Amino acid sequence: MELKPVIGLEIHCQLLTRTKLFCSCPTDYVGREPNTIVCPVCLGLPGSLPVLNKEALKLALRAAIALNCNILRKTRFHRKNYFYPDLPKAYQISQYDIPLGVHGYLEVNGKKVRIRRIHMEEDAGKLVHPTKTGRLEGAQYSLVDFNRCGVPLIEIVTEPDISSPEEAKAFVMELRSLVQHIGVSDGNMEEGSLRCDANISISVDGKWGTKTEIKNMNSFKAIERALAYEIRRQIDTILSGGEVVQETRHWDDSRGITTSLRGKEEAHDYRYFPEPDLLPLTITDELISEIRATMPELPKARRERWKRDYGLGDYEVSVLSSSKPLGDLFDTCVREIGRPKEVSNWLQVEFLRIVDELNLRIEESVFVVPYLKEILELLDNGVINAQIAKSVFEEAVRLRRFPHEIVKSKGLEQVSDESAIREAVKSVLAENQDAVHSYLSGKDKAFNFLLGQVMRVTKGKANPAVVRKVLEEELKALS
Amino acid sequence: MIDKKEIIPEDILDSIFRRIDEVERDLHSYITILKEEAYDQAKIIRGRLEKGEDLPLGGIPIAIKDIICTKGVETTCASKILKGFYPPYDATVVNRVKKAGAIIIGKTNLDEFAMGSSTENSAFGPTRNPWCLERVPGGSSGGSAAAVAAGETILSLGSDTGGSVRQPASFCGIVGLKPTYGLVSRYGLIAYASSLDQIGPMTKDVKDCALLLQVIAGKDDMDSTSLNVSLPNYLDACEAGDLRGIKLGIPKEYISEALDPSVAKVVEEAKRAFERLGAKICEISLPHTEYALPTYYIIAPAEASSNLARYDGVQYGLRIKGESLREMYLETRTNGFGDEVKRRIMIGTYVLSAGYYDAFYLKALKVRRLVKMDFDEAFKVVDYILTPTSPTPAFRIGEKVEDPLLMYLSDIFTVPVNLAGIPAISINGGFSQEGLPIGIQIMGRALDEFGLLKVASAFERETELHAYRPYGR
Amino acid sequence: MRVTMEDVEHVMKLANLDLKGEEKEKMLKHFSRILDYFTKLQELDTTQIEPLSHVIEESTPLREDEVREGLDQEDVLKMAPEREFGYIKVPRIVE
Repeated sequence: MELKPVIGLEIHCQLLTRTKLFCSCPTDYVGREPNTIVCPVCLGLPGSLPVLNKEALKLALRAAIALNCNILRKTRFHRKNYFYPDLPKAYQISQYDIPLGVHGYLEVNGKKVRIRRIHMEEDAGKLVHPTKTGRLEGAQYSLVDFNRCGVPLIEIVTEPDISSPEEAKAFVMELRSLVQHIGVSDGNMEEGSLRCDANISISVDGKWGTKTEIKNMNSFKAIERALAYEIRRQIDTILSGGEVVQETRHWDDSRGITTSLRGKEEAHDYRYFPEPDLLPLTITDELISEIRATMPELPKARRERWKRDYGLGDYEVSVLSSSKPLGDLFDTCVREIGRPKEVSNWLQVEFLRIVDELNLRIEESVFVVPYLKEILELLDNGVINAQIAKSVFEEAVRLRRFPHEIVKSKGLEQVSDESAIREAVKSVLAENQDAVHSYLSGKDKAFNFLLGQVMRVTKGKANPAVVRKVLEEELKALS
Repeated sequence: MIDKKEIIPEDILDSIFRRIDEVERDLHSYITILKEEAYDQAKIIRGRLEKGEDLPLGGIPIAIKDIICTKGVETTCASKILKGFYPPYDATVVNRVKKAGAIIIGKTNLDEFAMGSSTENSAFGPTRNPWCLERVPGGSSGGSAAAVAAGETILSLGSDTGGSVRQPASFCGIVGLKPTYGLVSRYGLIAYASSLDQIGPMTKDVKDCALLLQVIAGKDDMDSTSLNVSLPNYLDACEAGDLRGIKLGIPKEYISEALDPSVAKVVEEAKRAFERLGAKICEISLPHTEYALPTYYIIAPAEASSNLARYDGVQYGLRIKGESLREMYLETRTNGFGDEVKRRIMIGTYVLSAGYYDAFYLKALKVRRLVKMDFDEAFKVVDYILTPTSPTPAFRIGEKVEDPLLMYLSDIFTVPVNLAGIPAISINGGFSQEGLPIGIQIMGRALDEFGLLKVASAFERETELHAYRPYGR
Repeated sequence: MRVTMEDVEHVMKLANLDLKGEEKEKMLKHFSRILDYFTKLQELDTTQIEPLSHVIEESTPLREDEVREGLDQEDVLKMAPEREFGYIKVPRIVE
C-alpha cells in the first residue's frame, strides 16, 4: 500500500494599503485602542455603502501577475452571508465565482506549485475573550473591536500539489518573500498579516483520500509541525482500518496536536449572491500594462541575476534573498561599492550578526553602505587588518560613526613597521619558552599560538603578514 | 410653488405646525416631529436668506421618510429593532437638502423597513389616508404621502423599491417620482433591496418635484452605484409647452378586465387629456409584465435577507439579552422584527439557500433581464409609457393584512420599473366615485427625468387635478 | 411546490429567527402560497438569457487610497447596548 500526503494551501495576505478595502479608514490596527479607526462603512451601519480602494485592486493584481495568473477581465464581488459578532454586516464582501486571477504557479525549489485562484476580500474585526488563556473556551462573554474590520486581504489558493510539510513550509516562505518583494504585503505571520490554512489528505495507491482543513498555524514552524502531525494522524487512522472524517481541525501549538472543530461548521450555507452595492469590475488593458511596467524584480529573477552577473553561489543567493530589504541593501552596496563577492560576505556574516545583536531593522539600514565602503578601502590600503576591520564595522554600525574616525580615535591603524613588530616578537618568544621549544621540536601548532600572542600584545593592530614573516625569521634564528 | 423672495421661514413653520396640530392625531404621518430643531434651523436660514444667499430650498419645510439616516435624530425604519438608533451621520440626500436651505421638520411613518404597500406594517401604528381615514395611504412611504397631501409639510422624501413612492402618491393624490437607478445617492438610505432602492421626491405638484430632484440628484462618491451624469435644469421642464411630437404608449397588459373600473376610467380620461396636448397615443406590449411581480418578490427579499442580517443586537438598536450569543441573536431578531419583515427574510433566505438558488434567485435574475428588454423594445417605438399607478384606489385599513399575496398585487404596475432601473412618475389622474384620488404613472427612458417632468407638468396644467386637496387649501 | 415544516425550520436557523407555535404554522402556510406563486417563472425558457444583477453597466468606481477621518470611539460605543474598556460586549459565544 502506497500512502502519499496531498496538501493544498489557502493563504491570506493583508495588502499594504493606507486605507481599508471599502472605506477611507486607516489599516494600521496593530496597537490601536479598540474601535478607534472605524466609520459607518466598516462598521456596517445601516445605510452605509462600500466603494472599492484603487490601490488595493492594484496590489492584488500585482500579486496575481507575479504569480503568473491569468487575469480575468470582468470580475465582481459577492456577499458571503453568516452571523458572527466580528462581522458587522453579517456578510463578508468577497470575490466568489469570478476571482481576479486563475491558473497561476509559483516555483519552489525547482517545482511548480499551481495556483488555483487569487481574489480580494475584506477582513473581519477581532474578538477578545477575557479568560486566562485568551481562548474562547470558558469565556463568560466576549469583547468586539472593529478596527481590523474591512482591512483588504488577498486569498491565494493552491492546487493540491504539495507533498510534504517541508515543501508546504518552503512554499509559504517563497510566497512571503514574493509578496514582500513586490510590496504587496509585509507578510508578517506573527501579527497575522499572512495567515495560512491547509487542506490535507492521504492518497492510497494513487486514490484520493478524504481531506481535512487545518487552521490556526501561526508560524512557519507551526505549518511544518501541524502538517506532520496531521499526516501521521491520517495515516494511523487509515492503517488501523478507520476512516478520515472530512472536517476542520484546529492546530494547538502548545499541545502539538490538531483537534476537531466538528459541530461548529454545521448548517453553514453562505448564500453567496452578487453584491448589489458594488458594480461589476472591468480590468482594463491600461491598468494591466501599468502594473506590469511598475512590477519590481521578482525574487527568482533577482537570484538568477546575482548568480549570473556576480558569480554568487546557491547558498549565498538564498541567504541574500531571504528578505527583500536584505536583497535591496545588497544591490545598493554593489551599486556604490562594486565587489559583489566581498559585499555579500560582509552582509551575510558580519552585518546579519550585528542586526541580530542590535535588533536593527534591515529596511532602515542603508546608512551602513558608506561604512562598508570605507571598511573595504581601509583594508585595501592596509590601514587596518581584517580582524580589526570586523570590530570597527560593528562599532561604526552601533555608534553611527565613520570607520576612519573610529580607527583614528582609537589608534587602530595597522602596524607594519618591521622593527616595532620584531621587538614584540622577541618579547613574546622570551616569555613563551615552552611554546618555542615545542615548535622547535616539530609541533607546528605552536606557531599559531605564538602568532596569536604577538597579535595580542600589539592589540590586534599588527599586520599579520609582517608578523608571520618576522616570527618565522626569529624562530629560524633560534633553531 | 413658493416665491423664494417672500419667504419668512418661521411663518411657513407656523402654518405647517398648525396643520400638524390639527390633523396629526388622526393621520399619524410622523414617527418623529422636530419642532424645536425646525425653529432653530429656521432662524439660521432666515439669516442666510437675508444676507442674500441663494438657497434653492431656503426655508422650505421637508419631511424625511424614517428610513433615511439623519445625524443625531432617531432613525427607526418603523421597526422595534432600530428603536433608539441615532445615526452618527447624515444620508447624502439629507446633507444636500440641508445645504439647499430646507428645514427638516420630521421623520415620516412607513411600513417596517419599507416592506409593505399600506403603511400598516409600522411598529408604531398605521398612517391613515387624509382623503378617507378608514383607508390606507399606500406604502411604504405612506407617512410622507399623507403629510404632503394633508399640508403637514411642503416637501417630502420617500424611497421606492417596488413602488413605495408612486403607489402612496397615487393613493394620496400627490406627485411621486422614482428616479433612474443611480441618479440619487443611496448613501444613508437604510437598505431594503439594494439593486432596486431609489430615493424620490414626494410633492404636491410637479414644479416642487423638479425643484427637489434638482437638489438631491447627481453623483455621490460614497455610493458606487451613483451615476456620473450632468444634470439638466429640471425646472425648465415645467415651463409651458404642449406635447406635440411625443409618442405615448399604453401597454395592453396593464389594462386588463381585472382593472378596477374607476382606475380604467381615469386612464381613459388621461389618454384624452394627452391627446388634447398633442401627444400621439398607441398601444404597446410589455409581454413579461405578469412575471415581473414574482421576479420582484424573489429578488427583493433575497437582498433584504442579507441587508437585514446586521440587526442582531451586537452594535446598535435593540438587544434582548440571552444566556449565549445565539440566544441573543434569536431573541432580538424574533422579537425585533414584525411579521412581514420576518416573512421576507425567510423567503429571501430560502431562495438563496443551497439547492434553491438556481431555481428561484438565478431564474429571477434572468427574468429581470427579460422585463428590462421589454422596456428597451418599447422605447424604440414610444417616448413614454402611460399606465395606472396601482390597480385600485386606496383600500381599507385591514383589508389585505392577512393575505400577503393580495397585498403584493398592489405593486403589480410599479415593480417592473424598479426591475428595469428606469424612472417613473405618479401624478393624480382623477378621482373615484368615493372621491379617492387615482394616480397615473408615466415611465420614461433611463435618465429622462426631464422628459417625465415635462409630460407630467403639461398634464397637470391641462387638468388642474393637483389643486384638489383633502382639507382644501 | 411542496414546502415542509423542516424547510421552514432550516431557513429559521439560517436567518436566526425563532418562530413558535401558531406563528410558525402561519409562516409555513404563507411560505407555500408565495413559493407556489414563484413557480410561475418556470413557464419561461431562460436558457439563453444572461442573469441581470445590476442595471448599471459601468465598471465599479475606484476610490483613491487616502485616509479620511472616521468616527470617535465614543460615537461607536454610545450606540452599543453594552460596552467594556472601549470594546462592545457580547454574550458567551457557545460553539
